[in-house]
Amino acid sequence: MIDGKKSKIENTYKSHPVEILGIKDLTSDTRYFKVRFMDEEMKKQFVYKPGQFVIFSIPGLGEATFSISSPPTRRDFIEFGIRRVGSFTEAYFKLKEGDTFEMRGPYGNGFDMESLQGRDLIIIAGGLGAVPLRSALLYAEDRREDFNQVFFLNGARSPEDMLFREDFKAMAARGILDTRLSVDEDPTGEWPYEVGFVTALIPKLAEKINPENTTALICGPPIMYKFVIQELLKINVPKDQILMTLERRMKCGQGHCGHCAIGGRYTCLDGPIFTYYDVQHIKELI
Amino acid sequence: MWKREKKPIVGVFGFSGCAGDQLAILHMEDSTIDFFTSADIKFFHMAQSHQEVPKMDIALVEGSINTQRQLRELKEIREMADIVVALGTCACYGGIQYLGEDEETFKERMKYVYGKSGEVPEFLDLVGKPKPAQPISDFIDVDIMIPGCPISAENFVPIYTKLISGLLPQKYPMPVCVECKYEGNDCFLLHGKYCLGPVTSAGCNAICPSMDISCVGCFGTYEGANYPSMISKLKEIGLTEEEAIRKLKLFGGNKVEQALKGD
Amino acid sequence: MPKNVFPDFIELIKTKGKLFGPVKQKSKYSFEEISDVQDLDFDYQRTVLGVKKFLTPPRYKTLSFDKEGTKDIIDEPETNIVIGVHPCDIHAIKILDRLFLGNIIDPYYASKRENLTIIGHSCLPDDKCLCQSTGTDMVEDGFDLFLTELEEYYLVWVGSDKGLALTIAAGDLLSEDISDESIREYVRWQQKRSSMFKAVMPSFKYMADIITLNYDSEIWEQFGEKCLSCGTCSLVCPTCNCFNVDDKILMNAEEGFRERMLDSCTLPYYSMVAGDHDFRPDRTTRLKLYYTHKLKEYIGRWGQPGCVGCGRCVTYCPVDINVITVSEALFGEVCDTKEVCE
Repeated sequence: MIDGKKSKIENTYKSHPVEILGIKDLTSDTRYFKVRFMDEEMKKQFVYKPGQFVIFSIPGLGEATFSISSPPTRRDFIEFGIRRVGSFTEAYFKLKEGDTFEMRGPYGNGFDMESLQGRDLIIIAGGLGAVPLRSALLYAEDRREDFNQVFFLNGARSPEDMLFREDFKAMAARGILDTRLSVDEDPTGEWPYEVGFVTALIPKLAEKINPENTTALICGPPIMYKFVIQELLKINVPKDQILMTLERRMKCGQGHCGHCAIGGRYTCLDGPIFTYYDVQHIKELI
Repeated sequence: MWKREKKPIVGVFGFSGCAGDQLAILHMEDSTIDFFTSADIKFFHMAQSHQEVPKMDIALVEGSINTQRQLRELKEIREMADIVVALGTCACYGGIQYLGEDEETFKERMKYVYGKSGEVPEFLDLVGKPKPAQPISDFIDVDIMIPGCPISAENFVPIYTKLISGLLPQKYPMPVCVECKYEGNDCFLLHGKYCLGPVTSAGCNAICPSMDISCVGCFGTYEGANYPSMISKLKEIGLTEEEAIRKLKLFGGNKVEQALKGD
Repeated sequence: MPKNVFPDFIELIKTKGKLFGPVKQKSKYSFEEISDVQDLDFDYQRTVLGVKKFLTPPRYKTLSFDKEGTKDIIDEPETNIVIGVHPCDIHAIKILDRLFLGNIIDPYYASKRENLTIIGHSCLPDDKCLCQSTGTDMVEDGFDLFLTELEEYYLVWVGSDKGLALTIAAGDLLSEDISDESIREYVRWQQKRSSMFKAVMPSFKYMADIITLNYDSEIWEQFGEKCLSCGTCSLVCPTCNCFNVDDKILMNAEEGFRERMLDSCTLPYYSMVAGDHDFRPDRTTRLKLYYTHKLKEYIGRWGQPGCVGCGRCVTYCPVDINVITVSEALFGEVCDTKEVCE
């Protein structure tokens, strides 16, 4: 160095090993992973908000982003739901209990649950959207006194396709949250809950909520947003209180690689949670 | 590091072509020995004497298909392999010989070579009756394409090692221009010289443009290629449409054919 | 600094690190390692790749791994000095710094940046330089030293502690006495330079609004039809920093490395996510991303465009899609159809 100084640069890309504590199939193509940091320090340090995501790494395979599915209120382990959709997830389906991989994060804005204290919450999940929203749901269950009314509307194509089916049934039975589970079709005829699109459940809440004091948390396939938003607007949920979590390609998680840019926003820093108000003002968001 | 479950069984096969891709594997210098130890190479046309087609995890298939017998063998390979890799531009897109895919001109050339009947005499019939060349994907499902004429080690090794590690490589199509700019080269097209970089698949490290030679497209077609715009650019620098198309077709094979018909 | 001691100055600098500077190579210029002062050619407008080739090289390894574990590849022990950097390229470095050294520091960039000394050099524009319109024709910081070339002297501006250390080391080669005549000559030179810009684009200031108004314009389709999706514009742009990451395993299947390579938002799979859903499947939307990000969103986020007017896209796009043609078309569109120009 010309001026003789040399600063110590912290590696923001450092991943930390985690151990897989449990694996189970959620549906035919989606699997649940329960992991824990191996380093005691990381177990303490790793705090996150519902809706945030992490980046998994296995050297040789590479890195990819996954949403956290467990709530920050439960600190012993971290849970994920992974759908088999490509070369990367394919590899994770080969892992077994006791195997290890690395993780860095958390990234993204997440849902600021503390700022939602005292509000009515409508949590609406479609398909794989149940994975990130489960974090918010369990948070709301664990901190039920923080919120006014909490509704959980979950849609899946069929009973077979509903992620965390047994968990959610138990949640409905517990009755801490007003849980409404819906399947588009029920070939078995034995589904004890709603049948039809999840959007059909929204008008029923009109009488129950105070729209001005309501926040909706949504995650689902891109096609779902349009219809869900329409229904929410009809029951007068404010545009900036419709929070949705979006997905984009990412390579770094810290606003450097450029892949997740939407307009001037980076999904990894400014998202993945955006409001419907944002959507109206940022082209290409959904 | 990712732990693979097993050392996979690999076969290397060659059909119509110059066998340059098999040769390229044998010429990888430091990596060649590792090639024979990092997987269980059960079959290698060029390096071993002929054997039965084994049950394989991965088959690397070079060359285009020119005869019924080759087609039978190709189908057998597909049956026996979990993953089939098209190795080199001939296997991926048909290669230079795809230029003769037209039935009529093919017959004419057969007559030119073998006399009036246009038939291969029986005593020469070693590989079956010839027919116009086609890429292997015209006949079987191909899992991965690694183009090149011949393949380059820099491009081949990372894809292949993912496969033998039980992983699937990520596809990210790029044209030669990307690697050309990585090298900091000027652009031929700006100086009135033709270059097929913008429509050609990367993987060669832009070796020709870096040596001041235009890209002739030997890595085959780039998935994002914009042929109409490329043709007008080539016309702008003085080529006729026919010349431009001929240059594109030289290595572009069936994909260029489809693109020109479709667009 | 009198010009006759410039070779001595170069020899001195070479003792402080590996020296790079503009070198003519056939039809182009490139920042190359300098062994002989004669190789330096300051009479140039632009290199193909800017200084980003030292800071975010086209391809580099970030991690190596084997069965035992992983090892970060961060530290670069070498000190690199690059001389002959124009104001636009210095502005570009400032933009990259803001991104990579902002709230979250990129360690790979940071180590390369820390090891790089920048010696700027004055320049005269050609018809592709539009730095006057982007407000990046002058530079006040972001360099360690900056040399303005006059008839017989270099005026040497010191921009950092590193630069100051160099001037102290240079000792008698530099003089702090600057004559009034030199100052007058400098002012005359600046006036001459300012009057030489041909690519003057008054519309550039309003580009953020113009792009917003033109979001659904057919112009994007027209450019999209022509675009070759070759990535050249991004790769030569001194502020384009997007990268891709890939893990590569060696042939022995027992070791490998993680590699970062420059990417381009004009490439077909740029916005593809798992499950093969592609948010920008066509050339038009990708090109629109490129230009809205560079000319509109940068202004929103940072108060200035992501374009420093270096003219590289103007020079190197094979089909003439560049900041000038795109801005002019968009401006023309607003003028023609919305009657707001006069």
